Amino acid sequence: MTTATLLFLKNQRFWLSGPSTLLVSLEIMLAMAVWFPAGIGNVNNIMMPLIMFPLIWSVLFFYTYLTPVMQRAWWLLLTLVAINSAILAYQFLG
Amino acid sequence: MTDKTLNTRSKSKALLSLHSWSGIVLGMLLFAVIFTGSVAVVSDEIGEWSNSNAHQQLMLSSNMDATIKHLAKRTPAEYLDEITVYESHRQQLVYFFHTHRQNPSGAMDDYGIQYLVTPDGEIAQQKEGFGSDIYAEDDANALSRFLVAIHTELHIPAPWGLILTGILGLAMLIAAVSGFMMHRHLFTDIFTIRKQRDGQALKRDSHTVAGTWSIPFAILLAFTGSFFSFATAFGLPAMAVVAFGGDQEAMMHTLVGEAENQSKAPQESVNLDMMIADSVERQSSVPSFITLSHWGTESASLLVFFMPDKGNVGYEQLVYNASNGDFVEYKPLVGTVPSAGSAILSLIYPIHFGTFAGLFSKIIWISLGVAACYVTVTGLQLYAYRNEKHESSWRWFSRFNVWGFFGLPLCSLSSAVGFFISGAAGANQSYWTPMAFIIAAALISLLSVSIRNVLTLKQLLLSANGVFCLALPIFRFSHSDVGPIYAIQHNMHALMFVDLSLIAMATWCFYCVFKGEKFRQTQSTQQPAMPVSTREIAK
Repeated sequence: MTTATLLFLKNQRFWLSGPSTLLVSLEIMLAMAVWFPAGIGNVNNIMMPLIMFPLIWSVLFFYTYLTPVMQRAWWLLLTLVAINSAILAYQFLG
Repeated sequence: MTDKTLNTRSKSKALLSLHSWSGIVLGMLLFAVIFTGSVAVVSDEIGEWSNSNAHQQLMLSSNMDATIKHLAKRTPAEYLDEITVYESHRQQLVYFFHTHRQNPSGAMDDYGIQYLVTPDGEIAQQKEGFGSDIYAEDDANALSRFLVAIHTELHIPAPWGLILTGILGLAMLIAAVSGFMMHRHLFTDIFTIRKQRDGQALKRDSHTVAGTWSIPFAILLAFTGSFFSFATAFGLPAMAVVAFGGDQEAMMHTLVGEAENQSKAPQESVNLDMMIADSVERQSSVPSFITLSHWGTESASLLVFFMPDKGNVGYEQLVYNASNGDFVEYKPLVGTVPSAGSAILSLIYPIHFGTFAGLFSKIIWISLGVAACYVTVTGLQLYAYRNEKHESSWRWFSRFNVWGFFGLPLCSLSSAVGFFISGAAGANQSYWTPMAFIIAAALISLLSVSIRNVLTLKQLLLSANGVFCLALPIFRFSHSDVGPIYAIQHNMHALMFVDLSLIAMATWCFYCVFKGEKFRQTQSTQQPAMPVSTREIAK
């Protein structure tokens, strides 16, 4: 594998739209199980996050990939991480 | 030029780059998943065809109540927890008496005894073990099971295969959405094929037209497919950790909609056949399978499952109280009462599998799948074409395309040949079906690196595809003696559909070979010294 092939690893956009977006989407999905209303059937808080995961990921992916201001996208992801981590921490430790 | 225009241009460029790279990096795997997905749409029909069988509706004609009572006497009491019954592809009813246990890989699984019972009530075969193992050794489903497993997991061990197909689903979503977003003239592009142009422009137009028509389908399938893969691979276990403190069994009870502590006091259950007859009357259809829970106890219940039928999009599950025979409810797919999650899930299944209008909707789904395959093929060919102009070292990419696009269908056809030959020889079909695929893949790979001329390689693989497509109906006929006249007389629609599809594909393959030869002759007359390039293959 040539060095040129691995150049994408130095690209900040790759880390933003790739692994970061995927991890944040996963965290949102997990936190949704806590705050999403379970509904009368007691299953919505399990099914809806699973169903919405590809949707959440694609919205975040296209936003982070197309935004001209990458810093704004980083801040958005960090805010989402903070909020969802707080929800998960409350669920496990609260 | 304004900032807005510049911004729009850079976005279009970024989208084009995203569209290209998502297709190039994962294009061949995506083709494998889409191609096998198109085949998997008719997996049930392939199951019937490979056994030269049509469903006999044995659940309606057999005395299942008497059979269950007879089998229950010879089965250990712990396996009476749950009994599943369905009709196999070999004119037998499959009764699986089981309980739930953790299998060696750590997942919850069914464990019990499976009986194969002939229409006259005799036990043809009996097996004890985990449900997943028994299913994996079932020769009746060997071919359809193998083809479906390529689609869902690419035969990579769990959970990595599912994670990879989930990622491929997301890649397909990127390619489809970016393809949609970068169209500035969407409606014009739907109808624009510039036939007067040369090979590349024609190929690009065909890629755009096929891609534009299949965008909604591609987005739907990518979305539902990645949901299935991710939810099964890690979504559900992760949800169990967050919402149920890691208790997967408690979550499954909630999703399945079953109370955890039910009365085990003995009480004779009512006649099973009467409840099934009632469900058939309500649905005007034949059930796909039934599940009896806690048979012979106070809390005995029966679930009758129906595929979508006559105007219904989703599946139907009817629940009966088996201790008095009363109809209880139409059960949602998940949970005990209707919910948004269950309603969406009951739409996702038929949308992904194309089962909402029988064979008709399946044919539409296959056609759209073929269009999506074509988009992937032409996309990769365009990339090879563009790069070959400047770098001759990219010739390997055209070779790789021929290997994948013509090799995978040939390997799939070979697995069917392996299924029939091993069946005729009395060998293990579950072993030889994938083995035939592997042998074919090895031979095709060897040919792909040893034949110098790419066009010759393409013509050879295409001819082999045609020959195998023609040979398979003959293999099937010699294996079973069920010919086209018998199939017409007995309304064996699945069998006729697969046979005719194979003949149509064989015709298409031979037509392409003929066209390719004609093109090669024209080229050799005009420019005898010119080497065969991707442009010619694309043409």
